[in-house]
Amino acid sequence: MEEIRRLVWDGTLNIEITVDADLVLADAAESSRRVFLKVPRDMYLVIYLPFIVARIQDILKIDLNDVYQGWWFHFGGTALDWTQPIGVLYDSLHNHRESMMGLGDSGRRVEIWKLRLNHSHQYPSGIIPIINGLRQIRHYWMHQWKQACFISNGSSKHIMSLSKQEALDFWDSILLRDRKLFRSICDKIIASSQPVKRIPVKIHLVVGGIRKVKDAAAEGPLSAQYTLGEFIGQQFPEYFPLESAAGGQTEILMQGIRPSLDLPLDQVYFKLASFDGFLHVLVKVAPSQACDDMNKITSKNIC
Amino acid sequence: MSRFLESEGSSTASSIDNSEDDNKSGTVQDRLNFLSRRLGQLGLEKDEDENVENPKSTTEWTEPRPDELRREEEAKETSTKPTEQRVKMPSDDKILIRFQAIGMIEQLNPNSAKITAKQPFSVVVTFLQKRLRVANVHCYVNNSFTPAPQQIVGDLWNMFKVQNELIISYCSSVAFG
Repeated sequence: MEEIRRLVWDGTLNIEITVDADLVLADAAESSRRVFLKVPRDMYLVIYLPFIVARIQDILKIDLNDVYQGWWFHFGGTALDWTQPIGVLYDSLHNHRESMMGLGDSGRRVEIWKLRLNHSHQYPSGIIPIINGLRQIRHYWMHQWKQACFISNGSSKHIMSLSKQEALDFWDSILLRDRKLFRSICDKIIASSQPVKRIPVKIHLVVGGIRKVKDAAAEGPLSAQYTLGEFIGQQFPEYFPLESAAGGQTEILMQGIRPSLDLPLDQVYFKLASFDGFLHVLVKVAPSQACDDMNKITSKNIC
Repeated sequence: MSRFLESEGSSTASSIDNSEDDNKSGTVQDRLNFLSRRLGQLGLEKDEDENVENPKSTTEWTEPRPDELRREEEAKETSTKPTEQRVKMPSDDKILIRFQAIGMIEQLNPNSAKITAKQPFSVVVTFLQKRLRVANVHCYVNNSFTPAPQQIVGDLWNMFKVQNELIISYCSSVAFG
């Protein structure tokens, strides 16, 4: 288990960020608008804004009072919701099948996710404005953990009883990528050695380019008996028959990998849970199936 | 209140005027016309008052009715399905939210409301801000955590309900870290 956790923690993405041309000086070189990053999959992209802005501030023609305020990332016209881990956004929006088909004989290729960076006083729809910098991001992350703790233990007592120093160390372990420190505090909140009451899950459903997020919790003692496939099938019984998943029309991804649907859900959680305490499960419905099921999905309670 | 007093005053005046007319004519038809006008005036004034004071005419919020609560209780008692199946709800369903004030902030009256399950949590915050007439309010589920604005209240209800109610406590300042 520990080895899988280490691989999840160390998982990274190569990202190329290009600043919108309207934001930079006319004589700025094309190359100076680009910033290259290698970031952990388990992280919020906006945390890197100070780093990115520092590299482009010499060519910017806008005045900045706050390095976090007013910025947003987009990919192919879709604004990225910063409240989700980068890896989840990448898996949702990036076409893995095309990437696999594009592999050469060697089977190796450096994958780079190309994003655009924009800035304005008006955020796109669905994007939460950052008005309080890193403190707001930390606050959001901590409350996600409280929520996960409540689902797992029936109360937030475990996380509320952390000392102030432990709470600060917990956040620092994310920023400093200190896995040992992270795990030591994480185990105080949701202990993998004891059975959990419920399993906190966020299901990201991607159908024909439309992305929806559904919060769910596998209930009580049954959760230990659930397999991943049974749980997802139960959440979407009308348009997600397990046969179609087995037939390859529907793709299920977690932390960038395709897990076996026969794995027990609690084991999957303790191995692949994200840095916010939730197990992020991505369900991508193939375009052909998406067309058939579009009407069903728009009427479901997952928007 | 002033609107109410005005309407009372005008109807009283009208009553006196019509009483005089009634005395003059003394016909049953005149008496019926007077009562009809009086009822019309009262009904109209009542409707206008509701539109101004009651936010449920502009939002989807409604106060819980005893028969709705009873139906929920009956459904709970008669259901024999496993928990996971029981908590699922159609997208058009409404869920019950109970509000609890923390500290010096005003207590909502009534302190519960119904909302469409598919709405995001930001709608709840906006509702509270409007009802309390405050620019900023901190909301917590089960005196514990603040949900993300885009989280669906139906999902929150499924996971955190207490006796079929989602308990939202609110405060004018940070209460639970």
